[in-house]
Amino acid sequence: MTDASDISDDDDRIIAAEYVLGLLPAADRREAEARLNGDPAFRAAVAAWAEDFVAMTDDWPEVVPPAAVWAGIEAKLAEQDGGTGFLSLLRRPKSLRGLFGYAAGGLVAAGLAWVVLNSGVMTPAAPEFQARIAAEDESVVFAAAYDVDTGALEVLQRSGAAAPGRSLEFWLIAEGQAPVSVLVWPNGSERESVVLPADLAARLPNAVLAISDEPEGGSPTGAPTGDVLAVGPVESI
Amino acid sequence: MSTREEIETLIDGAARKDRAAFAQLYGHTSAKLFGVVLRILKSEAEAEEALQEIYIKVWRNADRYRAGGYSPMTWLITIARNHAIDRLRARRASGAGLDEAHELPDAAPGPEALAMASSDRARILTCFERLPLDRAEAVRRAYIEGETYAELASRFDVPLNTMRTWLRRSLLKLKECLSE
Repeated sequence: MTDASDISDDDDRIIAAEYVLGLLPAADRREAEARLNGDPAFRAAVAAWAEDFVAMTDDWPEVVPPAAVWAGIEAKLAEQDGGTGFLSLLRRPKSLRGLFGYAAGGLVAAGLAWVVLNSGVMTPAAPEFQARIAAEDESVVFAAAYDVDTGALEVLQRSGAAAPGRSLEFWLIAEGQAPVSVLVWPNGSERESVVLPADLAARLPNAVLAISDEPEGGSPTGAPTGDVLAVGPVESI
Repeated sequence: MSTREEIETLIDGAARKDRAAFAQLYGHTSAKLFGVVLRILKSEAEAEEALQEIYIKVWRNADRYRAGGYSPMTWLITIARNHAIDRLRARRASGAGLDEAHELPDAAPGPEALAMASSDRARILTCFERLPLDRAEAVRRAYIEGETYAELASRFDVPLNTMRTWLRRSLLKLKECLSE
């Protein structure tokens, strides 16, 4: 029996659990998925956690779905057959058909990045970057987390707000570059989410997030005009 | 509920692209999966759409079932849970439906549920009970709500690294309890 206080980051039991829960950032998740293929012990640890966690759903009531759901599935499968008819002419071996299913799955994902792992259960990944944007005296504190899969920067208000008639504006400042406006905080909100354009997201590593005091509705110039109230470095998780 | 062997045979049938087997698989398992997806997404319309996508994934990935070492219902429920969590996270990322999702009643099981619990469920509940209340809640929220370390840290108002350490210790304690 291991002492739980003697915890190691690379304990496979924990990585397997974090993987099943979808808590691993995308890079770690890919690493875990690569191991699923060649590491039977890790694969077994993942399957064991999946069994354990699924027990939480045991008492959830069954609900018969409306008939339209099955009709929709049949229609989608028929559509897929129509689109891939040439494949059946080629009489692909089964493994290649599986591969094709994998590729077609990617097309259907429509914006949601899923990775198909070898067991096909498609585990979600967690955000990869975070920042704590805080004033020196902690009068203004916001937490931000960026999810690589959804491309969204989620920002949570911990403390502080704009002065009456003013707005808080968030800026991403990459090293040696001008601040880029990310978000004007809607007064009264506690939580906001904004999808970052890819070129902006690419600047997250080693960047700084800052909050400035601006006229209501945000800076009129596209650059910070008021005091910088809080800053925080972007850290990879 | 059908037996493990029956469901396994039907998944194998779907892997061979046997539509009749797949239809039967849907007949035997869709009520459970729909219940799971409804519970996670808390929206009938979204759950119906999600269920369609889930069975398309099941159809496409049925030939991978044997590789994972999951029991058949666990494999199906895990696909459903992961898909629903993906949707939930996308919904949270876009900011839509955030408030309603947080205002819905807590999903903690009542005493009746405990009484009807299966042995697996009883086992994990017993082990959850050995964790401090908030730690058990964090693990539950990670699985059922798909909450991330950042979200949990914010919910429990602790630094992210503290949250991570908490949860990892809890997972280790859970595993030790479950292996007893």
